[in-house]
Amino acid sequence: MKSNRKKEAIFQPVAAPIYTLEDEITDDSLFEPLDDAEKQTDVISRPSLTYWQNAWQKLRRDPLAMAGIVVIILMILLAIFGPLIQPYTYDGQDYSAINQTPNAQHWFGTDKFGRDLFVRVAYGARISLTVGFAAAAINMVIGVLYGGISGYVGGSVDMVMMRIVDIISAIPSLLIIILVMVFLGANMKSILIALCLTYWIGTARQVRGQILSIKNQDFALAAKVIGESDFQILLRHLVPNSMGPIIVTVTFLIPQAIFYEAFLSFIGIGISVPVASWGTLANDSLANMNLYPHLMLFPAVAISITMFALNFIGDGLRDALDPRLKK
Amino acid sequence: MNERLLDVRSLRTNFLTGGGIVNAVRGINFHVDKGEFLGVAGESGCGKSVTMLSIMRLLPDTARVQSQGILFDGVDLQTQKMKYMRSIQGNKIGMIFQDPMTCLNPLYTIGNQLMEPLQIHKKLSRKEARKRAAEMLDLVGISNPERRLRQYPHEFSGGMRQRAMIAMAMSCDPKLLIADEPTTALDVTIQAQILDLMKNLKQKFDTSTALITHDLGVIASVCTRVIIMYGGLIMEQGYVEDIFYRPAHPYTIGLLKSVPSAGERTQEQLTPIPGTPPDLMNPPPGCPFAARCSVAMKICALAQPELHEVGDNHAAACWLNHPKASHMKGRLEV
Amino acid sequence: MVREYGSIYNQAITCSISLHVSPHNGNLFLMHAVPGSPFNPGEQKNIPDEILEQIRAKYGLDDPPWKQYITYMGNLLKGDLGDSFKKINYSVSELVEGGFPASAEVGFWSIIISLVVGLPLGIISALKRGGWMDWASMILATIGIAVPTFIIAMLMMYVFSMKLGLLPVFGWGTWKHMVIPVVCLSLSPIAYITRLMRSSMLEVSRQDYIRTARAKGVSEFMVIAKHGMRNAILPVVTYLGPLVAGLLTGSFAVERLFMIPGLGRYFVTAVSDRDYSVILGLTIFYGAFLMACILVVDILYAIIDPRVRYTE
Repeated sequence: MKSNRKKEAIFQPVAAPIYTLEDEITDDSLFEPLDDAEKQTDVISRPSLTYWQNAWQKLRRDPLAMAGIVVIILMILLAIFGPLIQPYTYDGQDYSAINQTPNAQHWFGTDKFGRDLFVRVAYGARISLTVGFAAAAINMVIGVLYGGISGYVGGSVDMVMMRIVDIISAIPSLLIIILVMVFLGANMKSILIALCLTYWIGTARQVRGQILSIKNQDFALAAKVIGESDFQILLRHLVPNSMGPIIVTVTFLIPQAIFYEAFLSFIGIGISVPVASWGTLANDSLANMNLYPHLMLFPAVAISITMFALNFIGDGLRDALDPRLKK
Repeated sequence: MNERLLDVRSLRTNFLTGGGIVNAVRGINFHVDKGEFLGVAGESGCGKSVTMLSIMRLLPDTARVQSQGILFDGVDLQTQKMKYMRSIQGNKIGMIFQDPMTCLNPLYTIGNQLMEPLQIHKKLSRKEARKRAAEMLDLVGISNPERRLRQYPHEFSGGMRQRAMIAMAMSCDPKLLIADEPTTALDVTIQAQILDLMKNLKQKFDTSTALITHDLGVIASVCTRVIIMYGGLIMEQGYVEDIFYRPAHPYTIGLLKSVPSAGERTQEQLTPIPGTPPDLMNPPPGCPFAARCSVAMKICALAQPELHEVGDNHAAACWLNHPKASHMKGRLEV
Repeated sequence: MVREYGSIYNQAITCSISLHVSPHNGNLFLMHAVPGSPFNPGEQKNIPDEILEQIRAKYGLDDPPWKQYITYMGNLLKGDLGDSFKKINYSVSELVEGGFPASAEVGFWSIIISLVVGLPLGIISALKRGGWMDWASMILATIGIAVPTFIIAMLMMYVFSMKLGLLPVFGWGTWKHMVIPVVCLSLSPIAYITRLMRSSMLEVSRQDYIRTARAKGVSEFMVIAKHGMRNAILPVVTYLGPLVAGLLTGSFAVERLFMIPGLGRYFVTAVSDRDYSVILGLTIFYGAFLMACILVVDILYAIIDPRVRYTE
């Protein structure tokens, strides 16, 4: 697109100067001193925006991120009201209506037990979104506290805390998650616990790094000089200053958590039947995929658009909140 | 008159940016004579580096260059293909950049990078190139060159890296050496060494040199002729003595006043120039310096004066040189 | 972009400590804490008590935990991972030997394909920024990052195997069986590598040393191939460690879906069967394998980047 632009197009022709040094200039007033008011000084015409206003402006101009937000809002509405607008329950079996393709009674069709797929997908949205947001929220709290304490206290405490982080991160998180699932049994609570055992690592490292870099900057020192306590400084200066990048990291935790829930359920060690999660629905559809592809399609589409939307929101937030990370 | 090695006519360079078009260089004429040491001075953002990069065609693809001729050694570079330019780059025109810490590729040995231009332009074999590279390192004052060739940039200090850069730029025996702020990123003591080295090499090989700097002290110590740039335009040009002792443009005077002079015990204070350089997205129609000039006149805001001879090989672009402006000249504090 | 880098030696020690401490103890703890065991009489009523006693004695389940631990560690040092509780007459080592080749074959081709496709896509996207190739590869990359591997695998299985009949639905043996698993597994790495390579190529092309190379008269091809790519590839090398771990995750789903007789399928089966000795053995094997991969990546990094060779 750049190369198509004509080379000449960006060069305005040079206008002949109105006056040159060789000219006889008759108007003597031109040689009077220039008033300060007439001097062209740089006027900064753009209104100054706060960090958050600026970020919101940027985010609003990002069509993908905005579309993502709309999709997630719709998904939340589906999760809350979806099961209510249909007269079926997620585990209500109806052997008179098995393996139906989508129709007026059963919008997404039914499975081999005659359970309504729309309600089950909506119920799956509940599970996925709950897992995603809860895991992200819990991990943010753990990560911020752990990283914040480690970075702020520093010294040997920091060393020990970071060694622990190193050790945990050296073990593949999937193995930890699977072992915990085996130990705690297949339900949503254990998925959350499993995710919380490993997922705060990234946030903690990031917060610690941010705190360390900000701690040495002048405003933290200035706050100390005017007599603020360490905790006040941490709360009032350090946390807000490192909030942007942390939010970006946490946003990306949501789709990861949703992915893990679906993945574990899909391989049969996550949410167990008859509870419907997108992963279990996909797994259930495998047996008769050839005959009833709609059973696979609806959960697959639901999880895919949710993942797309969350990734777009994450990308948009990253561009808006953390310009240094912009790729 | 001296023979001209490089003659640039009405050079304009624009950048396409998200916010609009930036007019970085707005129609300048200048030349470099054979065997001369030219200094180009001005504040950051005045277009001095962009001018040189335009000539070398090293600007990013957001830049557009227009001119009525860039004559180098009798050939108009403007009309040549990129292939021809490549045969000039690093061969007939060598270039040194500001930050020696980032200008060398961290993943290759100094030797590898030094040998590159020799192998490309002089078609030397690896062995010959290596020998020549070692000679060049020796020449720029790096001891134990054979061992140094095998080292990586991170094993060199800043001053040594700049020496290596100079060796690289000089290795093909160029006719013109362009040095873009070669000493700015270095310690003061190292600065003097590098300048000395450049001066010596220039005398030894009789390479014409164009030195870009914002430091008038550097210019005073090595250059013979100076171009003062501001807002993408040339404000004043002339021999070093003329510029330093008989400046004819208020901007030059402002620059000189803001240079701390070491050694002399002067009572006078340093006077910074108030204000900031103009926004080149929307350059003012008149003199770009008018807004910061203490002797600006009404006409200054209306039209930009052309360069006007004020002495032998000494020209300034200022309305004070108009016969009717004599009443203002008295207000100019030199 | 200099990587924070501890010495390889140091890293190896951290790895081996964590390898030792966590999965083992976790697993052994697990074996005693989990309600229900492979030989739980509650579940399998048809096994007479005296046989159950014999089995428990054979696997040493009646010994106190500390003795089990010592026995296990002793065997581990001899390379013995124990026997499967469920697959009679199979030792865990035999399972590893049986399953590893298939997993390794799929994994190897996935890595090769993700590099062979991802690197050029990223480079082209960066060089022709805003062009159609850039858009196409960005769309591909977004799909690869957002859509889970198992969903893609299911869709591909449905379209290419069931509807079009081009490829076998599942099974193992010929190259045709490998096509869909390998494509599915490499899609997400391709996405990451493309994105990573594109951004790091753009970053590198703004560096001063690229300008220096141009100022020396180096040809455009050599500027990109010699000065650009080697620098730009460093983040991709760092990503190779997580890449292997990611392939492992994918392989659990893909091997199960396509009935590939690989480690991933054994592992998933073992988890749902509560076959502890297999879970334990495979976890240790996976852990050791991944850490070996990370070590290899670190060595590779040091080969490419001289700056980390000499650091403490």
